[in-house]
Amino acid sequence: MGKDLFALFVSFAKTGSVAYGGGPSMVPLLKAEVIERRNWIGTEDFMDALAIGNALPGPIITKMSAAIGYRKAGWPGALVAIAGIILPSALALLVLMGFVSLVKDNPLVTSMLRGLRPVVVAMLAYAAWDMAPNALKNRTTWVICGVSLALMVFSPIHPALIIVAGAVAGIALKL
Amino acid sequence: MSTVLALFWSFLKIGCVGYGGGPSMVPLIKEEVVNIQQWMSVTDFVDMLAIGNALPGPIATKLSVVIGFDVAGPLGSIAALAGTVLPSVVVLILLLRFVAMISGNPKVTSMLKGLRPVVVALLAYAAYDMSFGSLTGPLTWAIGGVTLLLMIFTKIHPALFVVAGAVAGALLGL
Repeated sequence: MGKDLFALFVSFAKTGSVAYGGGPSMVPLLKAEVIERRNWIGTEDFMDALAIGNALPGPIITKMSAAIGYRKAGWPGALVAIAGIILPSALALLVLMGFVSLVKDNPLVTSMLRGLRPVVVAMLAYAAWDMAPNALKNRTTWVICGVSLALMVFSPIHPALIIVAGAVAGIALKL
Repeated sequence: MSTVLALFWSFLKIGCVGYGGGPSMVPLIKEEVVNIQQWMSVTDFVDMLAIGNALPGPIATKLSVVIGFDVAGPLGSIAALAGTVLPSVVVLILLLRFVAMISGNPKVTSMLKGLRPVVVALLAYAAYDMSFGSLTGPLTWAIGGVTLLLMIFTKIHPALFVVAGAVAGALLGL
C-alpha cells in the first residue's frame, strides 16, 4: 500500500512538473503516464472518466488525478495523486511570488512586470479565440456568448449566475 | 479564522461553477478575489497569473494555493485549494459507477453546449477587464498585440512569451 502510494505520488508529481498551459493541456501527458507506462487504468476507463469529468465543473486535471488515484488505492490514493499533481508547481509559485514581492520596488522588476501584464491579456484573449470554434457553432450559441459578454461588461451580475443560465439555456433549447 | 472560512467558501463557489478546466476558471477567480472580496489589486492578480503561467502544472490550483497563502497564510492555502478541488473530485469519484447514465446523455450534452459560449464570453471579458491596468500605452498595446498574433499563428511555447514580455519590459524601460 505504501509503495503504491509512493509510486502514485511520483507519477503525478512528474506530470505536474513538466506540462505547461494549465490542466487541460496536461491530459495527454497524464494519459501516457498512467496508461502506457504504469498500466494503472485502461484506455476505455480513462476516456469514461474524462467524459464525465468534462461534464462536471472544476479543474479537470485534479479530477482525473483523483479518479485514477482512487482506482489504484482508494481515497488515500486519490489524495496522494492530487497532492502530486498540484504541489510541485504550487510550491514553486509560492516561492517565486515571495521573491517577487521582495524585489518589487526595484525599477528593473517594475519594468519587467509592466512588460508581462500585456502578455497575460493576450493569453486570455487567445484562450477565448482558441475555444470559440468549438463553442460558437451556430446563431444560438453566438447569441448566448454575446448576451453573456454584454451582461458581464455592463451589469453587476455574478458570472457564476451567467454560467448557470447558460447551462439552463442549453437544456431548455435542446442545443 | 473567518478569513479562512471566507476563502474556502469563495473557492468552493468557483469550484462548483467553473467549467472547461482550470484556465477557464481564472476569470472567476479574478472576479471573486479582486472585485468581490477585494483581497488583492487587479495588478497583483495579473502579476501572479503571469508568473504562474511561466511555471508548469495546473493553473487554477496554483492560483488557489498562492492567493490563499497571501490572504491567510498556510491555512488559507489549504482552505482555498480544498474549495477549488473537493466538490468536483468527490462527485466524479462517486459518479464513475454510473458512466452509462452520464456520458452521451442528451441533457448533459445540451447543457455543455449552452455552457461553452458563456466560457468564451468569460475569457473575453477577463481579457477586456484586465486590459485597463495592463495596456497603458502604445508599447504595452504592441506587446499584447504581437503576443496574441504569435499565439494564433505560431507554435511557440507559452512560457517563452512570459519571459519575452519581461525582457521587453526591462529593455524598453516600461
